[in-house]
Amino acid sequence: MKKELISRVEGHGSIGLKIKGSRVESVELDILTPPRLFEKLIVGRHFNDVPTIVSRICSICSASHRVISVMAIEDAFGVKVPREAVLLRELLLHAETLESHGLHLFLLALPDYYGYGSFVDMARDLPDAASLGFKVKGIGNRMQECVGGRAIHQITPVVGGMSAGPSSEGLKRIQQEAAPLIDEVLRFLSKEIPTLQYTPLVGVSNWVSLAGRDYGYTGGDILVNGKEKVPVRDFYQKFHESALPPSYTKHTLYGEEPFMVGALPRILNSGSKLKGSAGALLKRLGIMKSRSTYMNNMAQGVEILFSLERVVEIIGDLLDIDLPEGQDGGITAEFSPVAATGTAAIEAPRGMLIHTYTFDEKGYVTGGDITTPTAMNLSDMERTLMIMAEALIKDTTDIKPALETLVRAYDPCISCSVHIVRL
Amino acid sequence: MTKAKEKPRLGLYSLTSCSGDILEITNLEEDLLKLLDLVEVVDLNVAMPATGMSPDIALVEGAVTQAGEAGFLRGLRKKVKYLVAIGTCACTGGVVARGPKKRKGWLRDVYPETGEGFISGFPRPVSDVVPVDFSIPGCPIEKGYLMHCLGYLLRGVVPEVPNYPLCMECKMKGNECLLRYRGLPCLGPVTRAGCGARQPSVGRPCDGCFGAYEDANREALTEIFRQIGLGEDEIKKRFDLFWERG
Ligand code: SF4
Ligand code: SF4
Repeated sequence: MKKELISRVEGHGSIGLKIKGSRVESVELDILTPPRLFEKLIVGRHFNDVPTIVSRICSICSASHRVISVMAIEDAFGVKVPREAVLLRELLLHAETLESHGLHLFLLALPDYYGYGSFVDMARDLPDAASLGFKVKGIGNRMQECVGGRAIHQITPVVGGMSAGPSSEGLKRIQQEAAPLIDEVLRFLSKEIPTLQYTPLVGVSNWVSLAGRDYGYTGGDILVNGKEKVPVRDFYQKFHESALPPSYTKHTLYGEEPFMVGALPRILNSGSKLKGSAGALLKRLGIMKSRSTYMNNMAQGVEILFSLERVVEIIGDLLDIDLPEGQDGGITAEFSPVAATGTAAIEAPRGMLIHTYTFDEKGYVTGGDITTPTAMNLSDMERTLMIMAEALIKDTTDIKPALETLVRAYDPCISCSVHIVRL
Repeated sequence: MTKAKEKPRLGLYSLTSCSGDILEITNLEEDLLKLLDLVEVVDLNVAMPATGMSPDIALVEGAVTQAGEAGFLRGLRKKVKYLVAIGTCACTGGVVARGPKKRKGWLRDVYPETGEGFISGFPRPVSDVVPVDFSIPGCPIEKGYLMHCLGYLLRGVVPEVPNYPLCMECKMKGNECLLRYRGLPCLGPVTRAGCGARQPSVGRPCDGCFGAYEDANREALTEIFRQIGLGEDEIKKRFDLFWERG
């Protein structure tokens, strides 16, 4: 068995392929990131500590985990969060999307498109691509510092609202930086980017995202394939989980079928609501028509524009309000814990994320469930890897780069090693 | 710029973790480019393929939960000059190092299909497996602090860590004390300084992710927590969020 590393994705994992002659017998994606048992770690903990613990599930998605954890707790206790705090949280989610998509699209995926081994090699020939990636990622980080108190494992979102407001100076600086970046990103992504030769081979079969009134990362029902609506509370009735050894990540199915979450599903479900430069780029790229899994990367590009535009807008709104800054005061609602269960869903950069907790009357956790986007995408990754391997195996001996690129297109929180077993 | 082969080699490794400390290194942005002028990164699983060269300095994030990870560390230790634990998981086991006796049952509950088929041990700090030259705590680590430490290590000197409480940094920021004036259970008085009082500065009591400094007076703080109305169980849970393994 050959074991090779796929780099440029997060965590640890492996793709196992069984090949007999020119037939692919099976494909298995094993996420070997060891179990950290967060759902159990929180049992017996006070609700205040839960967001702090669960944000450590993933560093890139820590803001999403923190915010959704707080929202699930608020759902249980029936808390009504002040509007300013809701806006600040939204800002934080856009910040995270910029950081995450900036890193993934420009520094991890574009090297594939242009045929480089890593962004370091790409930067030698195409300094623009790399520096734009650092700019987008950088503004996302600075926003998370400003609004969340830290770029990773943010501090300010607390049950009831936000523990502190950002400095208005900081907000202004971000607004000034974000506006010109919109044009720069639009110009770069409108240029001809070499598309991948295998793009037509794999397409999305089922796509799932939250779809509220606007194109946003919170609110609304779960929307499947642009038609079927599932209330967030009914998630566990329609979607099923299981873990098979040796993979430590659970697989989630919609009924009996694999499905995809992430930027591409969001665009397919809600892209028609995009306006401005995000809408313009979307039209240009023809993502809605192609439905290729590989287009997830370009969908991230569209979302970078959407988030930048929203950031300028939200900061405009916030600057009109006299927010308490720093240590001087939080923006929180009054509430008291009750014995209840709460569920909330959010669109994290990599796709839908759901947290559910049950509390006793003092606010201590008695049970919890967390379903991550990578778990939701696993089965679909296996599905498309199989199609891809079968299509390529006949005339290529080295199918590894194509499969790695496919895995990276999903932007999973794992890094993979490929074992190819030839029988 | 020096020639590539003369630069000291740096390796970044991730064990069981959220990858936050290595992500924080990529967040160095412009400083990262300066760092890349000084060192050659030979391994960074997240952003580039491995070069197969062994590093002089290894930064290791995450806790040890797998036999494979322990074996990897033993091999790495033989190759490198400095082995540095970065982040609280690598230093103490981190936020996940809880419930040592309950772990088997948890695995069975979370993965009923496979039960104990998973070989996954209680999260241990790197120093449980191999000697560590230096530890950089924090969940996540602080970029400035890391650069400061690397500056020393590149000159062959092991840096000192701040051995005083977070309250010192909090005071220097001019913050209002959350413990004294707002009755919030802040762990600042017993926690090692280094983060610049991030949490107290935005109105949240410190959770102690940097761990204890030497001679931290836990009893005295326990008494204050009782005075502000915390029960014994609440006090225990404050201390074992990050501060100690429980
Ligand atoms: S110490 Fe914190 S930031 Fe670092 S790996 Fe552990 S959980 Fe993540
Ligand atoms: S807020 Fe915490 S860290 Fe700051 S002075 Fe008070 S006890 Fe110390």
